[in-house]
Amino acid sequence: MASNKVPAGIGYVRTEMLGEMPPPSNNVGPVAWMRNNLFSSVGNSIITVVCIIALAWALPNLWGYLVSRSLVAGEDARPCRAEDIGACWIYIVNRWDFFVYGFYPQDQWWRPNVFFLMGIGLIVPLLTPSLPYKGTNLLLFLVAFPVVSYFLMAGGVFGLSEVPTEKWGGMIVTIIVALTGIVASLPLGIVLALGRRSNMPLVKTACVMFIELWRAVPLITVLFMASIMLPLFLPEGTSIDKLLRALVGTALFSAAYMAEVIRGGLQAIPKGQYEAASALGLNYWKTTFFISMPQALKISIPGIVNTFIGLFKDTTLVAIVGLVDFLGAVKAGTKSAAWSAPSIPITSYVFAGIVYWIFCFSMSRYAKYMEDRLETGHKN
Amino acid sequence: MAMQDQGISPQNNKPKAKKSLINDPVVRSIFYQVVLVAGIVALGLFLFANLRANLERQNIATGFGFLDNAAGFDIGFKLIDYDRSSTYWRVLLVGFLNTFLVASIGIVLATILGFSIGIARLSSNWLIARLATVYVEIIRNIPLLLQMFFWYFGVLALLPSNVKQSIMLPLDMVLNKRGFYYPRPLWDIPNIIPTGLIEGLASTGGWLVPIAVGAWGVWIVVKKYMAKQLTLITQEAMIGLLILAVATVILFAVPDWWLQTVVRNILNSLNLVVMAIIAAACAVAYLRKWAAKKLSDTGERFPVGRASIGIMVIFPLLVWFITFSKLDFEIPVLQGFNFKGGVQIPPELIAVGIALVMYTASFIAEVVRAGILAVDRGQTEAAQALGLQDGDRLRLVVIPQAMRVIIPPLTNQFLNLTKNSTLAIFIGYPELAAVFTGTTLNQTGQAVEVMVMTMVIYLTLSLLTSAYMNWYNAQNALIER
Repeated sequence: MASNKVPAGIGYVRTEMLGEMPPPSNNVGPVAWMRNNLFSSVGNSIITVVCIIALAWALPNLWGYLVSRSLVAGEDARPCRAEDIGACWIYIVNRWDFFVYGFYPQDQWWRPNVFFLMGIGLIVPLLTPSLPYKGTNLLLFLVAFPVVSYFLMAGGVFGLSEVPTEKWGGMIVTIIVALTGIVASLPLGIVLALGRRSNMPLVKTACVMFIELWRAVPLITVLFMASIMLPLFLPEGTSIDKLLRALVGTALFSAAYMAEVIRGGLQAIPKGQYEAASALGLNYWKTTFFISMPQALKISIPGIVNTFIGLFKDTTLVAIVGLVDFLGAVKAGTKSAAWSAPSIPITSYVFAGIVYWIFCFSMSRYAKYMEDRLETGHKN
Repeated sequence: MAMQDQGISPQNNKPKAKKSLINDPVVRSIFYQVVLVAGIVALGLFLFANLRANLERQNIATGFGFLDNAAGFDIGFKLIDYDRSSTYWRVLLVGFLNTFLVASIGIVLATILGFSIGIARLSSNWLIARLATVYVEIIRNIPLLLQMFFWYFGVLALLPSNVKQSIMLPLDMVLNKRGFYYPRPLWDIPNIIPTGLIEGLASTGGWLVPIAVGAWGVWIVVKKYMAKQLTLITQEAMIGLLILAVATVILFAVPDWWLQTVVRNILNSLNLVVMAIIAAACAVAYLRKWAAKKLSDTGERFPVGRASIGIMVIFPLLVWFITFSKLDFEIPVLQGFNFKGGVQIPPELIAVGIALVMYTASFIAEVVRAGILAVDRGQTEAAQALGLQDGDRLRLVVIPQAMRVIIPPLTNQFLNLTKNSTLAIFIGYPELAAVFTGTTLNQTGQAVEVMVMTMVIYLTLSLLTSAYMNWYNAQNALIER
């Protein structure tokens, strides 16, 4: 518009816009990205080169050991004893059933399978935010599921043959200890958290002491105590099997941690919620169960899942009372003469590591997802 | 009660008969508490009665007398003299020192590694940031016990078991299946504290130390009471009383030689060069204070960093040369079927150390990352606007604020590391839980006494850590409006 009024003869002002020049070649594309993110300074360049050299050495070796030089098909450890052999997956493939079912009788494997499926069928809808009937679901998971699972796994009723807990092992024990930990610790943790926030000094003191005592001592000592002291504290003649001792120990231990997570959730509830509840004339229990606890549980889901990750990793410690959990089942064979080969211990621990990692990492991703979801959902 | 105090107000002048006792919150609260206490007492009595009956039936002795008996078993790795004829008291001390050793090595190395990885995760270098993330996500999602097994049964088991094929490392270090050997430094530095004085202090220190510690515990409670902050139960009061209790136990129950050994060892290690290092550290602390005062008074800067390094290095070196101190090495050499001389680190300790350090470092890295991210970007920009140089900006603005966030969870990780060191029991490193809660309990059968002692030790450690955290938080809390 303005350019139209430029008098003729003064030619140093352009009358039309120039087309855009492409950006300098070192500002776009992979080269620029590398300049900015890998070689932005002398120090960074040195770090990058060192890392690349280390990766160039490590990755092919890792690939060679775990994949290209490894053995998968075979009957026993003999092929793995040769020189220059990588991971011996033969061991994993052959002992897979033992890792999952332990000594559970083979013709009864459908029972653990049903148990696993039931667990998945209850947990997945519980953790999916968009699905309805959370209350019923939670009740089924906390009450019906443990009872049904116990009769299903132990048998002795409804025509199911009896399977003593000594025969349970492998993944079954790991899952049972972890699930019992969560099923028992959630209600117990809620009670303890409410007690710790109570105005009654004696109730508060009792809860604080219980929580702090369990949180202060290592799980190993708790399991020791459960396995040695529990029989001493019970009346003469009460026999209590190894699995139950370990379950009591882990349940009490994780309840203390759960209580602290839930207390954190309760503390995050704005004071206005309690005031609104009193204004409506709700008493303490109604306020707790209809107003504060549902909100507190919702915002402590990431914390609860993180506690559960810790608990899941800690299930490996039940070996101290003589139970064979998943790690124990994987480890058991590596000591036998039939499966002695230099690479078998490393292979089995790498395999067990991958299994535990898949469980824990997916749970931590879920906790992260819930955290991000709640970030926008609960601002006050 | 509160209702009666407000009796003057008109609406409360109604006849009391309408108010049922059941609905009175005070009555209810007293009722609940009485029920709870009665329940706890009844449960306690029930358990105690069972316990006594069971112990009698199994012929298990009670009381702490067993601690003076000879233990009769060997311990593979120990920092103090120990043999089969030593008492259970000594077993406890050996176990405690082994736990202390692995925890202190672990804490130092895990902090270094954790800080490096945490900072690397925030690096502008894409590659190293990704590598650090991969490290954290892999390591912290795998059980610690599994990692210990991996290092001990997987990796260290591959080391040569034939001593002749040991891996010879530079600086006369040796690595084989029996462990890692390195030259033992033999210091020859004059000690000016006379032996008589050391012995005298050691024999009195046996009771002076617990009395001093107990007095400190009482002081904590009294101070709170004077400040009228002592309600029914506060953490400080609990900690003060716990310190008092532990001091009393040490004074009356623990054998005298425990503390005497500790005091004697500390005094014996105070040679001239160590004293010079302590003096230099004091001088540096004073110099920092002086330089800070000078900066705030006059605005003049004093190169504290360079001066401190100078003092810390030059003064001890000067003392070293003036006193003609010497340093020799005892080199491990192959004699017959084993290496003799030097210091041997058993493979169990190496495996426990590697696993604990790597695992805890992944958690510390997250703590450090969160701490640095918690410092508002505006702080950096304000510091730049004030014209602070890059180094000063980090040192004076970003790091102090990040440390405020980092220190409490970091202390918690240190405590976790110490508690996790009990996992060493699975691969045979003789730490506290293994030799005391494990072997001693198995041999004597005195479950109650052993468990109570173990729990008290860990409870003390844990409460001291939380006391430190509370103190640190009180010192460094942000003072807001």
